Amino acid sequence: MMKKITNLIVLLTLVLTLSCEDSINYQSEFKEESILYCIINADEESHYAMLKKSYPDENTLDDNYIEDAEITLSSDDKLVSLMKNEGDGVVLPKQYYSTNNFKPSFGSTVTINAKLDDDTDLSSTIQLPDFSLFFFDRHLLEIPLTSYSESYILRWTLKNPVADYTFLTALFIEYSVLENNVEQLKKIEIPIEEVYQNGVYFPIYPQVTENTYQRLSQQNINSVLTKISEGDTNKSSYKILGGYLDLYIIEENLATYYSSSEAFRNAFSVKVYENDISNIKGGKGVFGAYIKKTLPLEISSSYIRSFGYSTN
Amino acid sequence: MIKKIFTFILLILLLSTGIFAQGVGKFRGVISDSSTGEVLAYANIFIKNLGIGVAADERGFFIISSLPENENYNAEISYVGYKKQTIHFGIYPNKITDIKVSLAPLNIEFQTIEKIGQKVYGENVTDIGIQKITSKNIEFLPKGVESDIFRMIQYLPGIQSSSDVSARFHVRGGASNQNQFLLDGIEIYNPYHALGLFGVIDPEVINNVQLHIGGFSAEHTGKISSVVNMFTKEGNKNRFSGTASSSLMSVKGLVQGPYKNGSFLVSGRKSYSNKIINKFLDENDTPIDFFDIFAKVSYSNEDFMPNANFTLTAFSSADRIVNNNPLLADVKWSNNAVGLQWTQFTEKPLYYTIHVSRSEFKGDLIPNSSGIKSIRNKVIDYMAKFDVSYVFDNKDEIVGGMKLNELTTNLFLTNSLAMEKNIGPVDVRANAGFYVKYKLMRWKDLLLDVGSRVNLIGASRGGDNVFIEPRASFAYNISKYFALKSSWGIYQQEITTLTDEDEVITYFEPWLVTPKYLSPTKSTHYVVGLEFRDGENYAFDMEGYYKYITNLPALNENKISVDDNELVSGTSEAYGVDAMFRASNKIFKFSTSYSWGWVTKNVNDLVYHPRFDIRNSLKIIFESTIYKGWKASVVWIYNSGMPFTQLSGYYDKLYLDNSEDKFSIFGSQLSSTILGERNIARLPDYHRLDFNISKSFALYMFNVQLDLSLINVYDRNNLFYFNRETGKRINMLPFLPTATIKVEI
Repeated sequence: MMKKITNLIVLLTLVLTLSCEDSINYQSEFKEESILYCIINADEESHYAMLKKSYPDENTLDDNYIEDAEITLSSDDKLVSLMKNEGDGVVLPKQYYSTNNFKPSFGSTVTINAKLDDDTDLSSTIQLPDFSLFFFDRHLLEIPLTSYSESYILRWTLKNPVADYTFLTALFIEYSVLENNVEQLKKIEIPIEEVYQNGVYFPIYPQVTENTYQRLSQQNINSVLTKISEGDTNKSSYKILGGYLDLYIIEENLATYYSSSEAFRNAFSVKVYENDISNIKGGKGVFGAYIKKTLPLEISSSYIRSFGYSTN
Repeated sequence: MIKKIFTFILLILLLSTGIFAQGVGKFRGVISDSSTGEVLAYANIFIKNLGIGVAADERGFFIISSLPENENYNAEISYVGYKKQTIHFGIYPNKITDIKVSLAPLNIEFQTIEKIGQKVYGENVTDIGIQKITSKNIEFLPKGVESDIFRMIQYLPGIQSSSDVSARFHVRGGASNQNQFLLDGIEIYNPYHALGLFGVIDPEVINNVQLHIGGFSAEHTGKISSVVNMFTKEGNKNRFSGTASSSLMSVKGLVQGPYKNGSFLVSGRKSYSNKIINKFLDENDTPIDFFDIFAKVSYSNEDFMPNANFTLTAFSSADRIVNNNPLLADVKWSNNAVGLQWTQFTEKPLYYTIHVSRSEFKGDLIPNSSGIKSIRNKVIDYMAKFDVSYVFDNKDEIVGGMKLNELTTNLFLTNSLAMEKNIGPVDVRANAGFYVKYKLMRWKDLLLDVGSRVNLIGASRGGDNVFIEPRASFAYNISKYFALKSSWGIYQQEITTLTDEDEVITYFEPWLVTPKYLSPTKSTHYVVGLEFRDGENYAFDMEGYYKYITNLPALNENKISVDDNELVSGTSEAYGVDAMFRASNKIFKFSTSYSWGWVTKNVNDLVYHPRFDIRNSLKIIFESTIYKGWKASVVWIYNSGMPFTQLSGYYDKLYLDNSEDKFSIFGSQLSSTILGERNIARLPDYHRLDFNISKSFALYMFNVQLDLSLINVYDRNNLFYFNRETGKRINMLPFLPTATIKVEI
């Protein structure tokens, strides 16, 4: 009996060792889907939408716009149609839809509808952000901050918000460089943190947050201002023009999409696939809204000159 | 109603203590190892004169009722690897004959010669859906990277693992969070080291393991798919001894010895290298560091309290992944547990156990500057338990008990609005209930175990306060060789994890009491089985099962709003057949198991096969004591392909984080995948051959054991997952030789 069992094991091992060919089909039958992107800046009258279709092959890029769709934005009694535009494919996409005549009131419900040639309907509804009062804890942001080394906290206040909002800040310095006697305007975002790892500095930019404050670091501003002319001895050809801090007040659909497109998984948690977050009925994409508040920077001339740069 | 049940139990117990049938007596005892004093779980006791016998339980304890009085008997006590012993005893009116038997372990060379005594079968149990593993079983099998109880469990039928990387397992179509891990009765919530690579419990401290995989009886509560009941050693009662061993990943040590009226055992393990772990993780450098410490003290003093045994068990484990890189997240998780158990035998055929314990689990995912969301989980479980058992003269047995848990589960997550939110209940929850069951053992061929749990207070607020979980099992011995068995039961689980079943590597599973917007998970098991044993050389078991689960918590994949619940309720259905054949002779031991199963889940009206729905599974184990201290084993596992979701196409996904205008739709777009119907396709089949050889020998005053394991001997490329972003195929373990050395004094 035992001999038979031993023989069986040996036979099984041989058979399986010699027959290890795998065949796996990672792709199922292609089913076309429609993707709609539209993000509303509630302070603006101009809005843009983009319609695309899915494609079966990863290499098929750039020629997947959906033409001749009817896209409308509606709020209260107002309904506008978005017109089709052709872009240059570089700064603007080859095809997009826009309107410059839609300014719903804060807090109102806005619906987007897209009717495609093949009778596919895409739709989504959101509520624009609303609050009774907004203010920063100062009228402008003075650079340098109170101290060169200590971190600095900028606060803002939102009175009577109608929903929970998240916030995202972005701090920019604008400057120009004289290149071949031509003044090139440039802009650079200041990270909130710089991490030095394996000989390389990695900038960390602000994340969406529920907090009504943002910690800023003078050290990072110093670092960025140093780096913009790194390797260039002609420091005086750099002119610091100013800067500003953008604060985005984001409604929840957009916040969720933003969060989902971030790296929200870590190396230790490997998932076999990710779910796409979308609030578009009938397809994929996102329809969201935000309000942008801007706080100007006042950069002291002596501070600018300390880097060898010129001032405005 | 509850009061009536209590009164009924009390009445039975009171009445029963006075009952001694005329003309019969009882014989009971504990069987242990003569060299260490450790109990020999499941040892055989066979009374030659009557041709009857029983198997000892997990504590080495046995009791035989209905023996005609004023007679003398010969009982043969036997256990694999030990010299069998025949004892003579008499049965006297109104008296229990107590014995303590110590069996002498055989030298390695004699182990193959000694014939095991009469195997006891079917006399005292209605066991169905139970697998019993002893420390002897553990010694034999391939150790892999670390010898591990949970890896060993995966060799059993009905148990499925979803990868080489994880020791987490699925029992008969159940999720991994439906398995209960009890260490001397204390629940351990995340018993895994190193991202689930192997268990935190060092097998060296284990005496035996009972694995209940379905239809378990009324004393078990808390989890709906399985119970892994680990009973630890008490420590050498005769002399001080110690062992030290090292694998390619960790070092460990164990000391044990007698102490006054008891014994102690302390063991510890610490990792020292990540090289092997990185093999499991696709060569990614993962700085895992872990340790575990186990300590147990047992005390038994006839002057202080006759027939009583006290044990104090303490356990601690911790894992840390600290990258020293702010761009990467760090992860930490730990278990701490302590429990005190008092087991009391009385002059009557009645014994009871009182058990109090505290178990804690902490898990932290610390994002640093990686941009991922933090997770903080803390579970604290205080438990008090009382179990009592009484054996009647006619062999029937009544068992009852009560259990109280005070449970805290905090689970802090960062949601899409960047808010940290505790989704575990903020307050402390209690769970209280009792059970009673009656084991009808009076007939030789028909055995019944009928009982119920009654939950009086639920930890989850979503269900009924009082919930009854009836359970029943029976066995019918058709002949000396064949038995039919069946069981049925209703089970409830009030705690769940926020686990994404599509994660193939998980650092830890965060626990929470089932939120009040969901009802506690309920499951109904139906099991039928057939057993064949020729008493000595061959055994065949086959069980068919059907398991239906309602109120199954599943991640809410449609969660968009912060107000949407994290979990939704689904259902699951599993059915299948598990079969196992065992053959052994003096030199070889062979076992093979085959499982056929079918699992579906229904979540949000989507019916699909979960990843652990493995249709066919075949496991073959061949063990042999070759020659004078040489042992070898071969394990071959085959699983048919797991379900996976195919791609159905691609689309341009908008990324919002790198443009000057953060929310411009004209920002960057990258090709992203669109998935097809969920888990509709199957991965290639999995198979792997492991080989182990070990040699034990004496060197001066030491006993040395060298162990070599070859994992994936024929270097099969078993597909782990396919990275859709990089297009890279990630395989499971390649051919991997590992070794351990163990020195014992």
